[in-house]
Amino acid sequence: MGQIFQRSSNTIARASIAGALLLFAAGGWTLSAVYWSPYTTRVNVPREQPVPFSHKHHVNGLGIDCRYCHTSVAKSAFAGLPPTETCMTCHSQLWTDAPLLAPVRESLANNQRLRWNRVHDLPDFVFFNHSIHVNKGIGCATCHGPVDQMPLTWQQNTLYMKWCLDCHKDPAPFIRPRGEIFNMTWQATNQLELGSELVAQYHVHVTQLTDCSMCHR
Amino acid sequence: MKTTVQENASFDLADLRERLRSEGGRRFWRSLDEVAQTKEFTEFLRREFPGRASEWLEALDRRRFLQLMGASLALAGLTSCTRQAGEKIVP
Repeated sequence: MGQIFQRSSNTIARASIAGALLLFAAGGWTLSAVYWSPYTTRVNVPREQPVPFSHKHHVNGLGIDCRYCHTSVAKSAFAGLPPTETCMTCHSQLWTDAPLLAPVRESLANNQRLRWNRVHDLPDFVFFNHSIHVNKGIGCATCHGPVDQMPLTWQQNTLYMKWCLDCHKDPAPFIRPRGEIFNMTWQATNQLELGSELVAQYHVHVTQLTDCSMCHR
Repeated sequence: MKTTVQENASFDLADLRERLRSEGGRRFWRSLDEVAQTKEFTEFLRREFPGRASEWLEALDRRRFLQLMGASLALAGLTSCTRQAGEKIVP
């Protein structure tokens, strides 16, 4: 009776083990790449909108403050979205015939609100409150990036839990004076030193920041 | 127990009640199972609930059970592999 396994079986066996490991690693790498890719995170992907509103033009060009439109950002969980009337404070006088603004005019005429595509969408199992962040010294740009440079708004950060925790574990590198919250270009000269001071001064209890119930309520 | 064989087709609930009512004293029936074991009753049941014919009667063995449960678990996990759907935001 002949041998069941040829001499070449040794090589085949080794190759399959190596191949299986390689396949496993490649699969893991692919999953991770997809998870962190802009396709999934939507980072740096400008979002289409019914009206191509440009923060760059309105904030950087005209110097309108964030709170002119996002009125409740310092007082409520939701930063707030401007009703059509807010747009019309200027646009009833300016660019009144611009075709781009037709949806705004229709919205006012028909008394129907504009339906924007949400750019920053946290999962529903996360509780987020804008006001506490703003009042404890986290600037708009820290999370939203250079919104004043965005013609169409995009998401600057992943909003993944890892990203939240980077700051919740140690806010000192990110915290800023309350007066500079809405300053889009503010940079500290000695961030770490100032940060630690502000964390103490604003009574940020860092140990509590990583409690599960802080965000998952 | 009285074992009057009746015509199968005519055996129905009324007959069943009549039978249970008529028996008393020493011949008192002790359980409904006694009635249920009779041929007429089985036949009556089969005619009354023909759906039972299609019921899966083979026992589900352990391996098949684990296969199905494993597949369900894996497929349930798949639902988390999608991108979050876009949302509208309204003032």
